[in-house]
Amino acid sequence: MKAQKDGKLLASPNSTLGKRILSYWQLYLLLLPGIVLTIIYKYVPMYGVQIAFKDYNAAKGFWGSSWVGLKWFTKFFTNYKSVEMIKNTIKLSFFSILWTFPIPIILSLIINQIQYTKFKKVSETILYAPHFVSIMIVCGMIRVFVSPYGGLLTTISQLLGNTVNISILDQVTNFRTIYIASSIWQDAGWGMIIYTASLASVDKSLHEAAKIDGANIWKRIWHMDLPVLVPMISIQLIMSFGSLMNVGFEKAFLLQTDLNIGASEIIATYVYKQGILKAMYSFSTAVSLFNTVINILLLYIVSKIAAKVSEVSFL
Amino acid sequence: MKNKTLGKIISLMLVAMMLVALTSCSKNSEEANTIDTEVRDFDIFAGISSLSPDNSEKPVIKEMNENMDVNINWNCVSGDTLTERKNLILNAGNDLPDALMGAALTDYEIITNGSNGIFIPLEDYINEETMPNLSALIKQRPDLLSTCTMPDGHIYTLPTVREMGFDYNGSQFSIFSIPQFSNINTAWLDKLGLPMPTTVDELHDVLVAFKENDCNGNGDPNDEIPLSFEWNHWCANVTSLFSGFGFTDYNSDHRAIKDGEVYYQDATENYKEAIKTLHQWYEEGLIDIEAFSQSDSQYIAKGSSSDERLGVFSWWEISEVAGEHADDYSYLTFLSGKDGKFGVNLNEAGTTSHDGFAVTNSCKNPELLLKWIDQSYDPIISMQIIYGPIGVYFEDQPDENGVYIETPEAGGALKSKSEIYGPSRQLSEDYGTYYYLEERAQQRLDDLKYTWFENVDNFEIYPSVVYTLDETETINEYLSDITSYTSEKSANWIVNGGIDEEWDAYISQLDKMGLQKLVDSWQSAYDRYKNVK
Amino acid sequence: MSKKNKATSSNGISDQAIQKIMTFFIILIVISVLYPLYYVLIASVSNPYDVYAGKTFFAPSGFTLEGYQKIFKQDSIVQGYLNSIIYTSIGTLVSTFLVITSGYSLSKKDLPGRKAIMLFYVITMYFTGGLIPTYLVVAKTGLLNSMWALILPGGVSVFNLIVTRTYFETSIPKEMYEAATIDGCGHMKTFYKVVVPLSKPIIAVMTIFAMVAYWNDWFTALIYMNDKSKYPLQLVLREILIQSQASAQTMSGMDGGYAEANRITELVKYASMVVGAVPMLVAYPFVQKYFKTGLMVGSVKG
Repeated sequence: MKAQKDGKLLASPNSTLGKRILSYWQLYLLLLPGIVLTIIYKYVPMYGVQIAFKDYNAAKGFWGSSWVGLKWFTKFFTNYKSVEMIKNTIKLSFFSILWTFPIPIILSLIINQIQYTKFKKVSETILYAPHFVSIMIVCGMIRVFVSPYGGLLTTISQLLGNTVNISILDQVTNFRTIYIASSIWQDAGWGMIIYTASLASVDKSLHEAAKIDGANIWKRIWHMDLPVLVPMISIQLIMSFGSLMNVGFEKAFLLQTDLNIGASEIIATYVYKQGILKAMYSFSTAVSLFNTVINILLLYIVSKIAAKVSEVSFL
Repeated sequence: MKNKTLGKIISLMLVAMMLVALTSCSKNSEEANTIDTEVRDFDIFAGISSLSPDNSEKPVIKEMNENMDVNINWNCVSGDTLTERKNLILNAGNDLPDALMGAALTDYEIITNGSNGIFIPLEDYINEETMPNLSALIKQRPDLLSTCTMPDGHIYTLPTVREMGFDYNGSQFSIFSIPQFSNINTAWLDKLGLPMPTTVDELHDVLVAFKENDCNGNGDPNDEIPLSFEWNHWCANVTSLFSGFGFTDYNSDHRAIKDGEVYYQDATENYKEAIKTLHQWYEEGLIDIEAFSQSDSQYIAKGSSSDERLGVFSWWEISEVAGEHADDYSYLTFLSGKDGKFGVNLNEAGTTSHDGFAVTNSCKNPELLLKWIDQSYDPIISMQIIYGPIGVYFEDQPDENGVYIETPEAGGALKSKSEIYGPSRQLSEDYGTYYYLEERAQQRLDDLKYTWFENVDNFEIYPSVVYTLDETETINEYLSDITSYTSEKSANWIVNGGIDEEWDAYISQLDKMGLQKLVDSWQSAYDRYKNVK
Repeated sequence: MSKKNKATSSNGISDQAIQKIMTFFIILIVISVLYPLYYVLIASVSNPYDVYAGKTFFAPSGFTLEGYQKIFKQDSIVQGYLNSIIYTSIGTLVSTFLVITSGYSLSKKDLPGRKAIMLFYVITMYFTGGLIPTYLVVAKTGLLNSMWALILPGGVSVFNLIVTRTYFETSIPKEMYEAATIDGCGHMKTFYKVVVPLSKPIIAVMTIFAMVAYWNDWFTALIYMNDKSKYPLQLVLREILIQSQASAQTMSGMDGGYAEANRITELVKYASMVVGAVPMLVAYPFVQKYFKTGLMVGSVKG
């Protein structure tokens, strides 16, 4: 039935490919600017990737620099810290995702239920504010808070009867905790935004109806709100794992000390230190390539799992 | 069907890539550079202080331009913009400026760009006719040119001389010779009735006394920190105390030299003993537990807090850390160790640098440009380049000795605003002739000369050498990992101990990491330097 | 309706009570999030050495406005603000337009080549040519030293694209499309007459994401802008800070002193962060209200 009625404008699944392309011509038009920009500014420069296998020399340029095969990868994998830093990167990222992922979801579900609108708005703004605190300042604050000499944590701890006589920041075991806790503080509110927006599409009157039917608040959240979030949760999860290896360098670098380096040396900090004496474009490109390969692998695995569980496909 | 579209996209991409690749290939061919003596316009890429206005607005630059009837188009960048931009300019190869000034060029960049022709050799222009001021300077400092000559024999960058030093036993020593001054709280010593310690063991006992007593009188015997420092810091590190173990370790690369032989300080037996002792002290609670993580701000906050907290600390100057308690502290000069063991390795402190000015192959009239920059070696102009203009930083009229004096506004902040990065000269004889040395600097020089140098008997210093491309590659390859490893192990040993058990493994790991090759590079550069002399 | 009170569920806890518990819980969280923000504010007006000595946990110590003064004394600040406002506004418009339109188009499950185009975009998330090739292309396309260098090379944010696409796939019921076609709308008309009004939440989200990204970006300006007068605010602030640090280092050898310069640096650090962040915090509530406009009640029945 449909096919006949809309034959002019909306193609049905049964019409030929050609007809379908034609019918969607407006959408292709909408897609065009983005595609053109991407080709020019993302695909054209991609020839730069090759220097991961070359010894980049500015005078010879990208095409003239000599091939060195896997030299940079060898350098990366055979240095005395390679296993440690890869492990640290993965651990840091994985546990970060583990702890920071659920919190925005829970918060957005709860706040969505609260009926005092002014309070809601103010809370959301406050929760979102830490995202703007610069990492340098966050690290400065951390140092003061955990300092054994008069730091906030120390003072509280002393009030409870303990004496702190170790440097908290220097303990290898504390590094990840500090890192992740501060990440939660900084990004929970920000991460909430996308879920709050999704929940806004749930019709309030449906909630009212459910209430009348006797469903309590948990049942309502579970059966009405959460399913709306599932696609978004899936996508976010996939993309988080798909960028697992990209743990940012700045915070780890700023919190790094000679003593906690067993946990704080990640790939990004190592590459940075190597590059201080001279700009090592080839080396950092090679390392990025390695990270990319792992990321793609993870992306593939997690998206397959997500597709099975939630019927949301990544592509 | 889906594969078709994918295929189309991929082939489009490939075509696009190839097109661009072909067009970008051509940039590598160097354009023949024609000299045009009519050209009076130059493009200069310059590093500046970001608190300062663009170079085009600085009075000294304007003066220099007028003198030579030259016009400069400035591209001024500051801070870390400088590093990124410089890299782009040198590596992306399009639109080279005529010169790079005050751009903090590394030796590696100089050698590389020199050998591939991006920087032109300048030695032919360094003569009385083109560069009279520099030539005069060279007469006063004959070694000057060798400090900026690259291993291939060419000079690609102009030198800068900064001498802030003093005479001692016939040689010049820099103000940076001893960057880490140990300072001890003499008020506490007096309170406890203890004499100034002169040996490592005596210091240990003093530190114990500091720990156990309520030295600052606030009722809490536990808030005193006997010994504080920032490990691996250039002036807050504690290595001056190591004199009692036979060495000091001021150089951040841990490089040392004895009788012409270069070695790695942190792989010596002396070093091992020093670290071991520090660990014992750490166990006894004599050392600031934040020594390995604190920032300068935290350190200074400790020193200047209203209750005096530091017993012994290390810094460039007492008053900066101690604040209002400065009078309670004095220098804790070099200690001796067991059986009178003593040794000091003075810091490497070059008086020359050569990263100030390079001319590229796109400059059409190098002779005029170099004539123009030569003005910066004139003593009066140089004075204004370093500090600020006459009439702003210096009074319009010199004093009765013909020496320029500072205005009341002179100081660090004004200097940051007015200074110009680039080649300049500051010879020891310039002080008192054209301008005066700052009081605090003079004070420090006196302290070095009359107090700290008293017991120093080893004046061998690794000189300011120029590395070949190979040596630079080697150093770049190994240095970072080696110093990181040393930092981690040493911090761990001081806090957790275990140096005896792990020492051999440490040494062999250093070897595996290429320590010998690194030291060989240092050695060969030194040998070459000595031969040239 | 008296039936409402029946919502005291079988658990015996009334919804009212749960509201109160939830609110209380959120209040706790908000306070613990708020405290460090408060601390930053205090630190920006206190003597840094008191801050590091742990004296400023509840109130400022050694009150000073020097950090802010130093920043606002710079002439470049006003220009920086103006530049940032322009760049952010235009960038947000461009970016949001691209993301929303592309996301919508790609949400059509039977669009031919959809997967290929998605793959086309996803590849760019992972493979990049690096700084220098990108710089060369930007230079070749004549964008150097222009505002467009901050906007166009970023292209389409793939992350945002995927989120938007997901939203369109799941939040617009099929019935809306059917109703639109019955009314005779083509794709574009359906899009801006029907879909856009219903998608205010996602448009608001993409606007925020874009706004914040452009506002905070300093690196692209550092690379592509030659004129200092074109620097955005964050880059200006960063320059002030970096120079403060650098001159502190060099001052060790002369009067003025490192400790003093460092003190100023710390103040500038905190103050510049506050100065840079305030506009975004102020802007958020304006965008936030669009989260509340969801489906028009009654537009879809049954």
